[in-house]
Amino acid sequence: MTALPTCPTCDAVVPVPADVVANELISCPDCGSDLEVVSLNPLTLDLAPDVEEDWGE
Amino acid sequence: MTSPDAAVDLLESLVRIPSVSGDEAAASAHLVTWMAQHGASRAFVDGAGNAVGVWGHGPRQLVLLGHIDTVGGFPTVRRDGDLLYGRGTVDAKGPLCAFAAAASMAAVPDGWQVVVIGAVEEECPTSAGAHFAIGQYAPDLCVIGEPSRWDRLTLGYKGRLIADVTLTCPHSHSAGQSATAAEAAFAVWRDVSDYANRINDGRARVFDQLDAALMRINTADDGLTQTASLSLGFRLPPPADPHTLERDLRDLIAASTPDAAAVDLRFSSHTPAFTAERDHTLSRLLRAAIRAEGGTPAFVMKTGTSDMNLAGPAWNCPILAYGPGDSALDHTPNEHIDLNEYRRAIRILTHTLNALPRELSVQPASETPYAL
Repeated sequence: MTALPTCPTCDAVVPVPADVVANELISCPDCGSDLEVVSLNPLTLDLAPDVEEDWGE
Repeated sequence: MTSPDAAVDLLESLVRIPSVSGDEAAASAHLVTWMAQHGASRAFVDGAGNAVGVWGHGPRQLVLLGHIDTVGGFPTVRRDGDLLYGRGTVDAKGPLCAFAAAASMAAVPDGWQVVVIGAVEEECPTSAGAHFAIGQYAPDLCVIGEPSRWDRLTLGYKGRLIADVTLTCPHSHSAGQSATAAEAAFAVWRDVSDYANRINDGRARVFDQLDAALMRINTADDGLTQTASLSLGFRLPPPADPHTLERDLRDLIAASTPDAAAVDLRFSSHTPAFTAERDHTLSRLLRAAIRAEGGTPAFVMKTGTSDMNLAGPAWNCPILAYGPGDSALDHTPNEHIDLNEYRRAIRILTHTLNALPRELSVQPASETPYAL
């Protein structure tokens, strides 16, 4: 059985949908952090990209 | 197979051809010739003057919509090591040439057609190239070619509204009590600025604020009549409706204009802001490619407008803007691009095109303008 990944923010175990795809964005059910599935094998989570602001086009 | 050096040569040669909005024919012809010589199954100038190249065959379509026009001014085109200086290097021949180079380098998967478009007149209110392209294609995915930096994806652009205000009043002695046209114009600007500040109260993000700018002010006096003209530019946050803003401004300016003055108001460039979804097939492919290049992807919201404001609502497909370059250099005399970043963006786009999936789960973008 594959170990469930943990949240990089709060270390909680994060349940992942069975049909999850690479680079999908999900949320930590404990702390609410936005996370990105950066690897499927092994299942690995990283913080989702920040949303920055920028002047111009 | 296109080499990285050939991709750099394409960019430098295209930057050397001036293509101010409305005068893009020579640049479009050059890009079409290059695409035809680098694997495009079709390359042509379309009915609007856009340069178009098509790679691959199939029912699925990815449109890479860049623009080939630039603003005016033509700083000397030159190389300084890995920096290429010149008008359009960032905005937006760099992103456009990255599109064309990546399409020519990729092995576009069966079932997919990749369409590269260098649209005309993006830098002026007509956006003629994008309007024409919107009627020609119905893509499953779209990337807008604007500088985001190699490791960021642009999710949204603010909206736009321009108000040209002309105040006219009878000439009066400067020792009299009547307000001059110039004073009336400043009163209008003060009230408009206060209106924007009230709306922005409590809004921390610049993207969420209504930006009001006094772009030009001129006065004239022929001895009988005084005239003051203002051009006011507004950058609208989502989900502000430009027509609602126009109505509010008409009321506001009428109320702040002295009784003795006549006011003429003309509004143009009505464009709502647009914000794309952040998690869909296209976003995932680009983020995976950025990570494969060693980057940490980020999203970005822009204070300007782009052809995404038009194509996003019209095509209602997963859409992002992407391209190498620092948008702080847009329209500046110092405009330049780091060619290492340009090559990196080409690798990321090529990686993305190679990975287009056979099956596509489409989550439509959302965009719902409403009142301020």
